[in-house]
Amino acid sequence: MNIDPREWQAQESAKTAVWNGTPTTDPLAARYVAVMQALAQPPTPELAPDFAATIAREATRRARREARFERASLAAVLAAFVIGAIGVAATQGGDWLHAVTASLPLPDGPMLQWLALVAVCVGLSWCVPSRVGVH
Amino acid sequence: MHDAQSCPEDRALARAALAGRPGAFERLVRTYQGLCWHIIVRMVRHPEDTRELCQETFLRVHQCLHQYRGDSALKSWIGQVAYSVAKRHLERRRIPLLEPSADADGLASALEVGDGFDLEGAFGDTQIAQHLQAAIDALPPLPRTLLTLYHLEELPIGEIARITGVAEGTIKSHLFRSRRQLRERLESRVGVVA
Repeated sequence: MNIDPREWQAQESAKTAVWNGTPTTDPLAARYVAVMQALAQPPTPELAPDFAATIAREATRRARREARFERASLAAVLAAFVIGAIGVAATQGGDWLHAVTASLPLPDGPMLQWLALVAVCVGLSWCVPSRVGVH
Repeated sequence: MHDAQSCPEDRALARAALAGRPGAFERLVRTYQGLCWHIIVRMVRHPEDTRELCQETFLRVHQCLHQYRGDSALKSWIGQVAYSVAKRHLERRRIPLLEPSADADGLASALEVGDGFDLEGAFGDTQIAQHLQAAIDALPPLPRTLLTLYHLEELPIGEIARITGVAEGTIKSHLFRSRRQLRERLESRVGVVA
């Protein structure tokens, strides 16, 4: 539908007259005043007075619940990772130890070898953050 | 008319709500609950559904507030969320956005009176307002909502386009046609009201 500029102007004049509470002199605009008054009325019913407080409480409750769920999920994933790592170490750790000890000058005896490997790991862990910190 | 750009108050309020400052999110809801209610009630018309959808809107706003970058007014951003929530509700119920309400015929019969009746004399301002409200309710959901955003929320057409995703020319056309339709309906029943 094409918009008739004259009638659009009359509609807008009626709207402005209703907003400003002033009468309109345009006869076509005057025919729109009742329509514009009706359109400026809020639909009923309105929201409950405590709506904002209720929603804010509910949003906070949900956010806390989601945060708890996220923490629990993270803990579950970490636990699964640790259990998996222990399982892999228990089943294949011996083979890895032999492979590593064969290629490194480590002391004799399994306990001493494990301790030496742990010392190497701790040393690396200590070195890496300090190197990162340099950059 | 309101500025479509975000203001420092918008960003400050969003930051406060995101930081979880006491009362900040409640203040945000209180500021924009009228807009949200008006959009959704005009789209879906049922107060109970509207309450639930308003709740859904603000819970989504709370969840996604970190995505608000302050490019537009917070009012437009929340209006967009409310409009999309209401639109999806109508789509789920297979209610078209551009077809008259099912009870539009009921409106026509409610306004119908017998020949020879003194219509203009019988219709007072209150009755005219009631019948116009019924005529507004009988419009399709989209024009009904556009009229509300333009006349009740006093938003400029550009901002309504941002909220609804409807082109500005289309909005203007809907406004023009709906307002003329309302005037013609009224005048066909009660004569020229001037």
